[in-house]
Amino acid sequence: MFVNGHVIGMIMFIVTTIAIYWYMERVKKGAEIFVRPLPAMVAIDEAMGRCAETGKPAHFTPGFSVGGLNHPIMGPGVMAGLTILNRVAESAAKHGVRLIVSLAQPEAVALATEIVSNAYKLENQPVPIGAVRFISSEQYPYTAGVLSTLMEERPAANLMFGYFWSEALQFAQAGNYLGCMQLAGTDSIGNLPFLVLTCDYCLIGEELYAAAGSVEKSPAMLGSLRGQDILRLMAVISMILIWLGSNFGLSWITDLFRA
Amino acid sequence: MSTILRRQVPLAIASIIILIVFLEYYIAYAPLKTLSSAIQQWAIICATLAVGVGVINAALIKIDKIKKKQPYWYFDAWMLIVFVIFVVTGFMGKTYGEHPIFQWMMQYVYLPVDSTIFALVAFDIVAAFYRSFRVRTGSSIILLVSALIIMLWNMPMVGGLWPGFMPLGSWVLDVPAAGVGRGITIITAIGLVGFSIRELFMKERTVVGVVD
Repeated sequence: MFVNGHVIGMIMFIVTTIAIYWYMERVKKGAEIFVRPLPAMVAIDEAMGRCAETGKPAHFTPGFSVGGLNHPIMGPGVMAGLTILNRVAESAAKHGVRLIVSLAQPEAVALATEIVSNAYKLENQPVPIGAVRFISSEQYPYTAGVLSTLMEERPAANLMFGYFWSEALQFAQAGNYLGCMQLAGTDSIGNLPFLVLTCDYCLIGEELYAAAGSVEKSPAMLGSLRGQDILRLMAVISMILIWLGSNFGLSWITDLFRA
Repeated sequence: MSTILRRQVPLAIASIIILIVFLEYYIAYAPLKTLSSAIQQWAIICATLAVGVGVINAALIKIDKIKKKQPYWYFDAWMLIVFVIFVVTGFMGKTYGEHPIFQWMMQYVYLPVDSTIFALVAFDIVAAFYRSFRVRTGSSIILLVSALIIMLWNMPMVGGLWPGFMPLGSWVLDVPAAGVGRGITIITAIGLVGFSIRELFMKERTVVGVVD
């Protein structure tokens, strides 16, 4: 009935889902959960403030994913970047800053346009014309397009939250050249060091998925963060068990994880 | 009604789809697999249709810049001309992209330019290295020493001078770097699970562009 090799994963998924639901309900009933602030999210207002002071725009991009949002690994990273766009657009609208969003996913154009226009309308600000720009769904044309946008528009803040490849460093270096305040975040392991080195603040891996909600501190967000701790604990126990099974000849343990 | 249509319906659709795809991953049941495959095909079709939206968006922005004679407007005009040439020559063959003119442009114009943009990363790496690897704290010393070991490890000449660099460089890559990389991968996957479960519970409202 179950797919071979996925049974333990399914059990862990069900336990995590129950834990997240339970913690969400607890937070709704008033339980307090501490979430450390993420400096990159806290700094969004500072970045927009800098744009407002200098009268320059802010630039945002959720990165590049092969095959758009459909890719099983890169797509969610870009999606998480778009959830952060909500917070960025909200702050840009509040500060009266012109926001430019560069996209490599045509299917995200409507969504990003909706996010940006909602944010500006809520602040009673005019929606910037041509704020959301589809560049290209190919990697290097997208890179060239974003670099060109950065050089033409000369933003005071460059925000890169999503999935990035080698273009991460090119964007960050262009931002450095322009003297931008740079905030970034990615779950792309290979390109994460580039962003950590070149940006003012950077979200690392998992933080990208928690970032949008870490500011709003909703029951859903807090509950899911605490629920993820249960999954983390199960992952650590699994690793220890597999290590014991592999190193001490306890094949039934390793067989259990293959079931 | 508008709020329900714009918020709840897309979230409900996303939630149902996530549930089907999750179940298909864990349960071996043929109809579920067929349904999941069909959903994933729809996603690809929707994304393909969205290319049209993207092209219209890009073209409108370029046309606006040309009309307003904004700085470097001539590059935008050139981009539109090249875009038309590529589309027209692309459709000239029996199947898309097989016409010799299109293939020539891809091979001798597009690919060299594409490779050039990638090659620029090398200069950015050097510039980032120079800018970032300054000794300020204890951890930056570790970073600098590790980076120097990896750089020297990559140079064939250094291996000839002192073979000890080879195991040292491999150790840096295979032990601390691989360990940290795997740690980040596992933690990212856990974050992704949480994100998916929030979407499953229709709580990740930001994915449908809602700002409350």
